[in-house]
Amino acid sequence: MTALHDEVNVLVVGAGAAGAAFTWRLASMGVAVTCLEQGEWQSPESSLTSLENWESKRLRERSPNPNIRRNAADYPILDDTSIIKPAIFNGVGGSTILWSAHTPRFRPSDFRVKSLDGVGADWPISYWDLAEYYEINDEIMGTSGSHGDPGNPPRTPRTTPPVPLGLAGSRIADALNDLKWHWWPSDGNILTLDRGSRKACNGCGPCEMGCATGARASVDITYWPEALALGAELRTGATVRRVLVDTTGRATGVEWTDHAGQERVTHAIVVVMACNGVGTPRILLNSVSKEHPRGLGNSSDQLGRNLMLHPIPVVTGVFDEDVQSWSGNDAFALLIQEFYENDESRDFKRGYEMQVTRGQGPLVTALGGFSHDIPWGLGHHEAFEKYFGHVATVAVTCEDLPHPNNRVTIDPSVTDRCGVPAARMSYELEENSKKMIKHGVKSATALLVKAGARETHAKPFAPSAGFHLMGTARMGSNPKESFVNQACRSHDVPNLLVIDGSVFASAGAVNPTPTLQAVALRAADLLREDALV
Amino acid sequence: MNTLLDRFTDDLLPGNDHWPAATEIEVGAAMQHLASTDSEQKSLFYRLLDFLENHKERPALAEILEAKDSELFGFAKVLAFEAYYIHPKVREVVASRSMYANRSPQPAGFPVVTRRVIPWNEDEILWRSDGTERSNEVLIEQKKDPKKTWTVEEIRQWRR
Repeated sequence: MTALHDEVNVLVVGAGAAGAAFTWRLASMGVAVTCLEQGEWQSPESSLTSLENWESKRLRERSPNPNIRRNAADYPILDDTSIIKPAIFNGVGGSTILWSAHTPRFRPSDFRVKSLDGVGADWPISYWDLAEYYEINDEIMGTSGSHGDPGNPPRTPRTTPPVPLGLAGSRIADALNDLKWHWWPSDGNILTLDRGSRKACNGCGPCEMGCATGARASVDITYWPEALALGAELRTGATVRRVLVDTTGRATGVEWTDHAGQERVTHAIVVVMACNGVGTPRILLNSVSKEHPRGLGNSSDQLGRNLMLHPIPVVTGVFDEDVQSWSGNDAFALLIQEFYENDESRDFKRGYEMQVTRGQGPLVTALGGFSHDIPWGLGHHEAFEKYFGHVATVAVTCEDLPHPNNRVTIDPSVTDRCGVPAARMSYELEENSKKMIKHGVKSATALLVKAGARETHAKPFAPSAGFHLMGTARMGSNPKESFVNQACRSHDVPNLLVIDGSVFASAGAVNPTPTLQAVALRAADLLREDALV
Repeated sequence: MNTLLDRFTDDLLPGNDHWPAATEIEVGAAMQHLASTDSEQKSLFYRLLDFLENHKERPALAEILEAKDSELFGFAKVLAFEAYYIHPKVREVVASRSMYANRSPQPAGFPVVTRRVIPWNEDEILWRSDGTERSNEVLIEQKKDPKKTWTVEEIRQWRR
């Protein structure tokens, strides 16, 4: 088949959280940008939360695991070598289609973990370089919350008030006040008041199936409409197979396959990768050439290494009171950062945050919810009635330290629909994480007991929680230890950028999306300032 | 429907005064339908039927399957629970036995009953300096007035 050729200015691969923010920012400065996305636009109805059997859909078509969901746009991720399984979405909006929109920020110390605490790697940039971009991103995404959190640097007033604590959240907030542990209403990209065409959250529950009202942000309804209005171009159904380079070492564009199976080559001045911490290294590792035998820009052998996932132990408390835990946004109401910073008196480095999540619907409760199998057989219905509506879960997000053997590689034994080799995730818990998990479970259990839980059930980590994919093309000053520089540009290939979670040098102990969007916005500004486009 | 599958599903989900047994709402047939949408699930479902056939003389089919093939049991349990808990009759029982509003999450959503709680630590700055001059400056400012309303313009000045 003869490939069709065309030429563009800036070419972004991936229309998720980072790709959308970057495209919008450049388009707003009058730069011509084209984005290739292998999935399609998602309609509000595609969340399937209006169906009677919505919970069944959650286990299938709307599963966060691409290996279970197996949509046409999903590529295989071999995960038998990883104890935590991938949770991503491919389509316009990327994984923000199925996220819970909890948006705490990194703290200043997260960018300097090596200098301050002697572990991991420092970023070549600081919190202060990103602060204004966090603000821009919060405004566009629409952020509920309450400014004034003493646990973080100041920020502007939030777009709308915070999501309600709910009955369980209120109990836990009381307990936190008694314990004198830090807590604050969480920032989240969920509106609690109407804003334009987006409606206020109506507390329906399963945010991670998608949001039919638009209360919960996803970049297909925030950044993308504005970017397209500014003249950006978005091509869907475009599966990128590899990035091309010339003999001088510069990227020249990408090879891709369209909806109809037609092979295409799009030439570009700058190529920008925004396919998440698995998808980006997969394409770059598949982009081998004589000049780049280990994958594009990979002279350091850092590409794909240092995969960080946030181990997330969960503890569920069961209350006598029916706290109606099936209502309200599902993943957060308040965040607890009492154990966030490094503490030399503990037997592990760095720290964790805790967030209070709701319970689940009937089916997921019957299957054990977050952390507790309820019995089948004669005792099943009695146990179900004891738990359903009566639970709250504290999820503990542990900072993950980079390790070279936790990594993404490619496995040519399995390919996607276009013949591109699959990604393989290899990931194990490090000793530091195991100790941190133990501490986190103890803290979460103590909190739930203080809040009046009559019993608690802990799971040391959630195996399905592979949604924070970081570190696989990390940012750094030293080209031998990192993949991109402080401007997100490849050390080896000057017109190749990586702008997604792959560039994180450290993982923090919070959800990464607002940070990766801030990084992407900043990278767009730097590209423009340097007059590369 | 397959009587062995009926026996198996009633082992998992027996009825009582309030809850229907799995066979009363034909969970076995629903399982077959759910499994038919996916080739991998279909193959596991036929493996389940084979297992049940090979153990039909034994009294407690679910217990035997759980002991002999935990992976297949896990698949069968999820499928049976899925078929059971999405059934309208079961949803009605869930609502009658709890405060659950028996409807899909959208379009109406659910009212969130809540109570306002004020954090105890409103005025005590708790984040850690990163060792930079900027960090120390902001910490001092924030300590002076923890409730200050900051603007984007002020925050923009923090950039190096």
